[in-house]
Amino acid sequence: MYGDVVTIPQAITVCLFSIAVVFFVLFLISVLINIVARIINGAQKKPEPAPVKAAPAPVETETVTAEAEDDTVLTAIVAAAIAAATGKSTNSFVIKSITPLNQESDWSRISRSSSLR
Amino acid sequence: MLDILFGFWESTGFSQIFRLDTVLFGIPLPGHFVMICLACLFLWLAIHKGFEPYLLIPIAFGMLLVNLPLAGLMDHATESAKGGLLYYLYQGVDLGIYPPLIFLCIGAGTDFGPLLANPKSLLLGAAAQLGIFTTFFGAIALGFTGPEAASIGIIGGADGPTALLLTSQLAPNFLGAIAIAAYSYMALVPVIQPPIMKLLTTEEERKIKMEQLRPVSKTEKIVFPIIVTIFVCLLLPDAAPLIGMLMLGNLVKESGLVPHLVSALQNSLMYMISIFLGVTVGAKATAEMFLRAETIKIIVLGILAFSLGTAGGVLLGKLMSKLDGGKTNPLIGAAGVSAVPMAARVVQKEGQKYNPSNFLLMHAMGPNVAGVIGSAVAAGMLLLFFGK
Repeated sequence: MYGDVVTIPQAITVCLFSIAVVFFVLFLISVLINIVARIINGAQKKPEPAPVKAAPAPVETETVTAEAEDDTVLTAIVAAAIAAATGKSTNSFVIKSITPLNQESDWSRISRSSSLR
Repeated sequence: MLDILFGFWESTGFSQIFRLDTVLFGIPLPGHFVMICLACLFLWLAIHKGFEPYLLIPIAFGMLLVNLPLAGLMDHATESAKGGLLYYLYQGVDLGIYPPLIFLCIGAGTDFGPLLANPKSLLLGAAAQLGIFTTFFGAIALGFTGPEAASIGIIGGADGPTALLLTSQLAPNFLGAIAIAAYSYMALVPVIQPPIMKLLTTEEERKIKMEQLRPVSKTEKIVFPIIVTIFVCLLLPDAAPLIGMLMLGNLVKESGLVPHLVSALQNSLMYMISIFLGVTVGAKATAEMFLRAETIKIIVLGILAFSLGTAGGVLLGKLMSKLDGGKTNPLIGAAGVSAVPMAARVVQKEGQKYNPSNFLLMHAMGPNVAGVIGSAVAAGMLLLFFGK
């Protein structure tokens, strides 16, 4: 369409037109995805009875105190595990504390962790 | 006897290697020697520093091979003589075969699930292509021709095969410099992106926790590559080689019926094409094509393209966050610059730095794979304007 020599107005045209087309194409793909998802999920849901709305009751986890260690990573892991197991968003429950159920000896803990490696 | 010795010396590459045959900024330089040193530097970066070793090792070795005087590995075929080995292998780049094949392999390894679960992330992939076009404009202002400026701008797409396909069609003389700039910046994503992400967002925005993505059905994943291929290739035929191959690879994977094909694409074919592509692209970096003032401009414009692309994605992420009442973490916009999956990993790491319970990886994978589609569409547009 254009040759080797491109003037500034031509360059501006290329920039504006191209970015507009990139947005337009990706926007239309997102619309298509939404339509396809609605058709497919609608067709799959039809034979099923209406799902019962789950009460957003906060899930409480077992309580016990962890020592003065930084447990933010542990909290995140437990939150992700609860979300995966219950199928709920991590925003639908609050973790107040995390406590191991059984206080096992250091020997058995080391044995278990080494067998998991 | 002396004549024989002299003849033998003249037939070796050692007699040529220090010849002052290249002029840079008015200074005569031993071009072959300088390029061999540069190739060794890139090999060191790839092997010792781990910068994109799968591609930088073959690229740097291609640079080394082509700059060995008298070896003639890139010599063109003539009526009387055969061409060099790398000349024949380079036909796969020249004819635009290797980059779409790489896309085929990438498709077989890509999960579009996060994108299908959150389709608006496609817009973040589009915004991150802003760097391509602003850098194109900058390159024109600096005096590059249209096809050269388009090839330089595409570095901002942060997608190696797309950059190589476009450059091999529009400005093959810059192929070596653009390939090295593109792959070096992709390796430097964890260094380049975080300061831009931090600069453009507030701490509250970086802490935003995003809701879990909905599960995506297998049917949706199978229908997606078919629909995108039909739609994009009809609208933009120039993007068909890249999008078509990307989606074919993905359909092969999502069909779930041909695991051996998927394994061959993800492993054997991917590595075979990477080595041919890398070594032949590196072989385009001869002293006369690489040791030029333009190479420095390409390196500078490349980082500008990358940075502006990141900024474009983050800024649209901010806008989305404002519009949806703070449900979108703007950091995920930075992943729109392709560089799969490194850019998404950077987003995850940065997000977790400010909120340790935040898991942005899957949210960032949406814009990340959207960026691959976006840069292929952008390349299609540039081919439409400047293709021969």
